[in-house]
Amino acid sequence: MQNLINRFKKETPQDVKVYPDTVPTVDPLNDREILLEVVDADIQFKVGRRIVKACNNLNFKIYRGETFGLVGESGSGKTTISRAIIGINRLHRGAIYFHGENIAKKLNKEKRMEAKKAIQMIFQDPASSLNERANVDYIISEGLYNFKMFKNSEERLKKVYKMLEEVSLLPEHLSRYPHEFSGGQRQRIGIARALVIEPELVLADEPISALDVSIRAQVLNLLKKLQRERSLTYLFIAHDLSIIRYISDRIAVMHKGYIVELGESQDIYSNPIHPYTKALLTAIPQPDPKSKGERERIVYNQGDIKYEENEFIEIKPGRYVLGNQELIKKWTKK
Amino acid sequence: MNKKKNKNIFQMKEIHQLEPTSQIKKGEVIVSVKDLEVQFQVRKLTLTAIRNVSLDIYKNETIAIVGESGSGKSVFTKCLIGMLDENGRISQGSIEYSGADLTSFNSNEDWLSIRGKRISTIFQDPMTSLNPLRRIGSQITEVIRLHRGLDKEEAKKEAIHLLERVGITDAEQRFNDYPFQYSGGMRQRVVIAIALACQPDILICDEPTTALDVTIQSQILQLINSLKEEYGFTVIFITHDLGVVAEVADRVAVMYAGQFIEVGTVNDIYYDPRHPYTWALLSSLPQLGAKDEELFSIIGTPPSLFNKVTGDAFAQRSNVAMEIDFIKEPPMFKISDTHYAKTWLLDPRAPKVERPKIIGEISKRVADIYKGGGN
Repeated sequence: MQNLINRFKKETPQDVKVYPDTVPTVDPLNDREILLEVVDADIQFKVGRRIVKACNNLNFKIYRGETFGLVGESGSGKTTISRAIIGINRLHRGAIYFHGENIAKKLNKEKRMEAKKAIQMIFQDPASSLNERANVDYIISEGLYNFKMFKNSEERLKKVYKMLEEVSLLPEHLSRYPHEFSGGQRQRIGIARALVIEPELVLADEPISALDVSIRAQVLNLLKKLQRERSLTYLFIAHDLSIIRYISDRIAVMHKGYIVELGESQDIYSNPIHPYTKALLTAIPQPDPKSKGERERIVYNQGDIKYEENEFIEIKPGRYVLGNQELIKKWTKK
Repeated sequence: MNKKKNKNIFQMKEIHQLEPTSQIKKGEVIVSVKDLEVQFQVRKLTLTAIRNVSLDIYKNETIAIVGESGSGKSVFTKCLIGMLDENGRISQGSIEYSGADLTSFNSNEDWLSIRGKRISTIFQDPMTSLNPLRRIGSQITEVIRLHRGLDKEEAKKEAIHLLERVGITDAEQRFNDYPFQYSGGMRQRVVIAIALACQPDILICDEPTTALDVTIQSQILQLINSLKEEYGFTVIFITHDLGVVAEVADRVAVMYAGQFIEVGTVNDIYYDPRHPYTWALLSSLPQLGAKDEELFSIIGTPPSLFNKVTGDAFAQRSNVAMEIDFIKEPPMFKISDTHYAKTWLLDPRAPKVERPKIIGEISKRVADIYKGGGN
């Protein structure tokens, strides 16, 4: 009996912060429209009896029309949070606001469909993320079927053709299967599949890591072009800071489930504060033989920096660092 | 039966012909590849993966072979260790290494004296090159006992020493772990330890860091470099990313459609590239891109190697191609003692072509972009 009461107690703690269902969508700081806002997000997984805290206290905003970069090593939780945004992972605590509306709680069917349609994903490995037994026509149209976005097959084909053209594929590719394409072409199919249902926010999870260098440039250019033409917003996930710099407006650096630093990408590059960010920056291979030997590499040692005790501090408008006053003073002094 | 026996005797002789390479001095030729051509039979069609290439590799250098997927860079190194797929064969040319011609090796016994012992390979994905069902320790000692003939105890000692050397802490405890208990970076370290177990002459690194994180990548690259200095072996580094090798390699050989189209020191390749394909590779690096400008990207795809390639293989995709590029294959022009390029642009009769602006700005751009890190 006591056990039962305890269990009941655990589920309704007294100090739970209540997150409103809606929040304003204009940032008072700079009057920009907030498309997506993540507030105090915690994500936990149960592995046997152990609880793995994959994301801890994540806070960030994504403005409409920008590219927001999420960087970190594997296992830092960057994919986990993006999966929470599309509703695959559940939040343990916190809220995710899309258009000012909380989408992390239970939604009715209509609202859930709306959110699904407006947020789409592009995956890392185009070979494994496409249905290999479906032809390109079906792969691209699947979203259109799901959301019933056409009146007759003529209209559907029109939409598919237009999308194909935008990603520089040819109409005759429609009847082919994914294995018949090169890596770059497959990634274009993945992009076409995501964009044909006209989403507002695209989560790109390492979309170019699996590609050859010469094709990377093509895909990056394509993503940028589509962003301009369709005023898309990107959440761009990568472990490689050199690519993130080229494509992102703002960057959040993640480590062990925490965002350790967040700010304008140029600012992060020229003026990193958190030691982890510094280590990450020195690890980028530089395409310049001159830097051989000249450059010192910082190996990050977390040491006695306890993330769970630190706070996410705004050191200047729009620039956040995980730490405390003392630590930040120490880091900026160096 | 008798015949088979005779054949074996013949092979033993072949093995004994390998001379030690210890007297070769640093900077002298250790492997010399001449006019190599490799063909694959695919459903009655012939694919020429390597088209008549020559390359000298010097002792204790790091040479990077850079090219797109399908350019033949892996096939080239597989010729050195006799690991061509069954439908592939060396149809022409020679590979000279320690007094023998590797192209005449044709049985597993022949190759055993080279593969793993004198020339080791590190592959891209450490999980697939380790046996998931066997303990790390036994996988390393196996190699040591087989090739160096040490007994169990000695081999274990040596294996622990190697694990420590490649940067695995608590090597003694972790000796009995399974691969899945190691992280990706540590697994790659184990693979390096196995490769080093026989103190090879040549270490082939086939995209060793592509599957790894950036931070781990730089650690592994540093490790390979410091081990190279310590053990004095030669590194052949295969990659598709010119952004990675600048700090690691001494020389770079750029490969395209089965041929080396430009070979030079890192300084030659990064500061004075001559071939349009090298220009394209360098200027498409996202690291160098400025935010408001479009990245340079190479149009089209490499030519199919099932057909005979006429002229310059890159001509179809090049924006500075001349008429002759479609008619006649360019020779390897010599630019300096270390720098060679295979393009008609270097012919005295060719018009002067400006290389993309970004090439001259590499140092400046890198300095601008990365000034924040490290301070």
